[in-house]
Amino acid sequence: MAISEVDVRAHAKWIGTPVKRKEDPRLITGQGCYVDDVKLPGMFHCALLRSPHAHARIKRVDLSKAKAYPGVALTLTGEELAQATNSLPSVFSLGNKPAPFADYPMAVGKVRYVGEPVAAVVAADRYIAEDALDLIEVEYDPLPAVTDVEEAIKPGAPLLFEEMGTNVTWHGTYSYGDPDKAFAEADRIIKRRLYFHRYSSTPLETFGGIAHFERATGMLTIRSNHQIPAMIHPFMAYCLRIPGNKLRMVIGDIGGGFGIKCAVYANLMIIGHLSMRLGRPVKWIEDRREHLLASAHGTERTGYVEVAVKNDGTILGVKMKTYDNDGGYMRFPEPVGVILWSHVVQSCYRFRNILMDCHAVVTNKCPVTPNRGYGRMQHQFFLERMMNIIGRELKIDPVEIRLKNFIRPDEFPYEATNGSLYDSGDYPATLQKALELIGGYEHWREEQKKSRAEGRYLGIGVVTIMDSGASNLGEMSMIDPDIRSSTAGEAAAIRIDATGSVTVALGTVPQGQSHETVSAQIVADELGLSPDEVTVLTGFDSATHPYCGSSGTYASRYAGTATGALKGAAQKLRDRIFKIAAHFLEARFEDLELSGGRVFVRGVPQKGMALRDIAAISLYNPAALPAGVEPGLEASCNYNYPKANQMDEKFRANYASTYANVAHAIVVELDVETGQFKILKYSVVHDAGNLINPKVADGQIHGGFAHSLGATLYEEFVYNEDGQLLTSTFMDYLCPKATEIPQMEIGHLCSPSPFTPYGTKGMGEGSGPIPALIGNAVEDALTPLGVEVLGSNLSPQNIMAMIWKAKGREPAK
Amino acid sequence: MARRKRRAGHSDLVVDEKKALHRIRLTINGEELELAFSPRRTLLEVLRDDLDLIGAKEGCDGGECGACTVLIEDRPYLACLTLAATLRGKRILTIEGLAGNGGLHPLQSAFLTKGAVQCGYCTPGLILSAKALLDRNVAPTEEEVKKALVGNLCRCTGYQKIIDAVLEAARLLQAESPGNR
Ligand code: FES
Ligand code: FES
Repeated sequence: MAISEVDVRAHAKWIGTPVKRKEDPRLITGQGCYVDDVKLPGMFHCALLRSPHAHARIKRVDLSKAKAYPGVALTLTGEELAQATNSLPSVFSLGNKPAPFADYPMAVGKVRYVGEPVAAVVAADRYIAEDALDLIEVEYDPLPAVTDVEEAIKPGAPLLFEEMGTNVTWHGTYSYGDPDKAFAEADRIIKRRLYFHRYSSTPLETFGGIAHFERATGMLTIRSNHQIPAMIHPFMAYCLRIPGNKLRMVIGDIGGGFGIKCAVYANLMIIGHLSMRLGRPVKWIEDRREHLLASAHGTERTGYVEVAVKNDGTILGVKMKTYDNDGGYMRFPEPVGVILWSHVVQSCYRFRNILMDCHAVVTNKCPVTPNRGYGRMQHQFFLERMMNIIGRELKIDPVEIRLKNFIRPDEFPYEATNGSLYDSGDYPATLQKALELIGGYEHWREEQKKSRAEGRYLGIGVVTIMDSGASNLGEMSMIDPDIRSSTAGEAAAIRIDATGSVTVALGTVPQGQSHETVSAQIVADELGLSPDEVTVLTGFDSATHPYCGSSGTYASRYAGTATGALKGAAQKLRDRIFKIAAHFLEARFEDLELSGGRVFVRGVPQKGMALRDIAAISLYNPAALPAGVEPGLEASCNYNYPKANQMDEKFRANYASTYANVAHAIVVELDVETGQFKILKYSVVHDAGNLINPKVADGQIHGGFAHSLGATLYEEFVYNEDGQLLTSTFMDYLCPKATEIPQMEIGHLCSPSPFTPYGTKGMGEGSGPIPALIGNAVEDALTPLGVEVLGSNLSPQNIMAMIWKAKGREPAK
Repeated sequence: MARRKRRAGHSDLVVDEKKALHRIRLTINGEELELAFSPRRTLLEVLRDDLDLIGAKEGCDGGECGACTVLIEDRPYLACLTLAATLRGKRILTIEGLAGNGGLHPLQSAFLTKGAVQCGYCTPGLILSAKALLDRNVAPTEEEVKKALVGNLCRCTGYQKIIDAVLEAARLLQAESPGNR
């Protein structure tokens, strides 16, 4: 059907305005409905027994006492679950290859990380279930543990999966341009080993779910706070051995996700199976310690980075050998995170000769999952640190070296060396604006000189990064070229009912990103209404919401994909509405306008019809419709980003959909006696093209900054060499509080994407830049001491350790 | 896994003579109630599980996050650390009771207009901590606001908009107060 392609931006009333959030009235009154708020009749509660060992063989599990405990309905061991279900599919299954090892939601034969589920108890309430856990006897045969990624790859290291003969579970090498030539032509090759630490954005709500199997219908409904329910739906159905149409994934309000609620679907398998055995609802909600210990962590990465440079600061090429510490298992979407920096392989720079040599390694730590900035944050940290290190070695200012290497504003759209199509941007302007917002670069360099003379340590840092949005799942082909995919999309459905009011359903699964609000803004503009008149359904339901192959809320997808789906569905409806109205008003289609709930002839507002009347005709009197017009006012659109392609034989594809850019600038004053610093000035400038709702966008910037700052200054999952997690409560895994967030200046530039319907771009990933930014500033402050920052956690003790090292002193014990 | 307080026979479903249910009267959101529960249960559990007052959230169950904050006699308490049995005769306010008859409390209005909410999981606790502050300090400084909120984690917003909202609410409340009419 021909769609009247109208660019509503010309007369947009709502897109681009800071409309108040539609979600807020329920959330500020305590009426939000999160998974733990749901109670179902006859509901049982599940608790999991978890391994105290990082690596051990399970010799015996005795559940007899737990089974006999009053109130216990069912118990389950890993062995029993493995017999009743299929093993978890891996990324490799998508290319019809066997997984490198069998993976089940609960330990089978062996435990591989502290906190791995070993047995489950279902009881009348959670207290009874927890009490019964204490009665389970497990005999373990402890094995040596390996937690460090570089120890794990050494010959003779303890093996997690003996059948593999190695802990390297996946390895891929990709060459773009001609790296060897670039390195041969370089004046210098600058090499470092850099380390990005392990943390997670730890949503305030932990993970959980309620599975409800109805025997009479054979329908299993799983209500949870999972971020990619549509993507895991086929996996879950396969594992549980039920048809897809007997598995319904329902999502309500989610208390934060940040990617962490992606790889954890294995837990939903457990309760799904338990509910199928009992024919009753089974609820399981992670407690905080379980979440920190064993839910899923962000990925830690060690990188050996080599950069080929000319003496004038021109970067010719980069070779990157990376080792991702994936923890005890490699759960979907891993090992994709290992190559995900393909989105931003060049970042904001022009070097086109790149060698990626990527390894996924299993160790006896918690498995990993996407975390805000998945797979890219480590690369951003490595590259932005290297820019400064190179600058220092070549005696070129960090701002200047970036300006020298930036992709130029007139080069867009710019095809990167790996085929990614960078949409638009003015990187020098973004950086300049960030520097203006801290009060001028020259000014602070002057201040720095003065302060040094006074024995004070002032440091200035900048970073410039690319904040890619809406990954193209064609990226999975890098793991195995037999995986064929090009989905970078979203789906939406819009219905106008007989009362003339509008209801929207999407395949997205927001966790605070305000999709109800921004979707209402878009549909309101497309259909000439106000956002208040548009109801956007909360959450997601696989049985009733539309979805596509990459649906979900992760990787800043909405702005690049859901916008297209909403526009597509709305424009199908516009088309139908106009055809009906043209027929009844005896007017020309082109002369019609839609506004205020009416369609009318432009310039003659009295000659028109209410949307309600059109809906009524289309629903109740189809015979009166003009020829070829479908009855009912309901339309959906399964949208795929038009530039999303399949990977070619040279491992090239457009790996993301939008490529926002961001510059940060900071001034710190460091105390060399304590390793603490004060942030004197901080600015961030985003260029995410057109913003649908500036207030929502600012919220993403503030939130991303706080996460990233917390990760840099405080947050780290610290393990001892036995594989015991030392930071497993919020008392030792420290998240920033209200008192710890500095003032920030936010600026926006606007380079609209030429490829998205409203010129928008995804934004707000941002976990990588702050460790690099602060690393750059701290190193700059400590120039007199010659300190070099090589790791991403810059806690006071880590800074002191660097200072002592530079001074040739051992740290105080 | 070992929930510290959810162990050792807390269940109301397993009643034996050593563990008779505890009976108390107290006032929740202006309503006088008589409740019976196992003496080891926390206020958070009683609110959420028995009374369906789900506005108070569990973020850690260990006094580390503030998501469960409620007001007891106008002061903020962590409901996850408060044994319900200790509240005989006390006056408790949860987010559900903050604004009467469908309206919004100025704090709620300010959270809405200032964009202080993302996922909303921390919001009830933060609003109640802020209310306790504004009840005793009608015109707090930004520093005082930050200090008052230090027990409440928010993982989404980065706090700035929340702080702005509390300052805005203080202005709204002052404008409303009889002395200014
Ligand atoms: S749930 Fe009470 S402080 Fe976290
Ligand atoms: S809004 Fe999500 S934790 Fe505060």
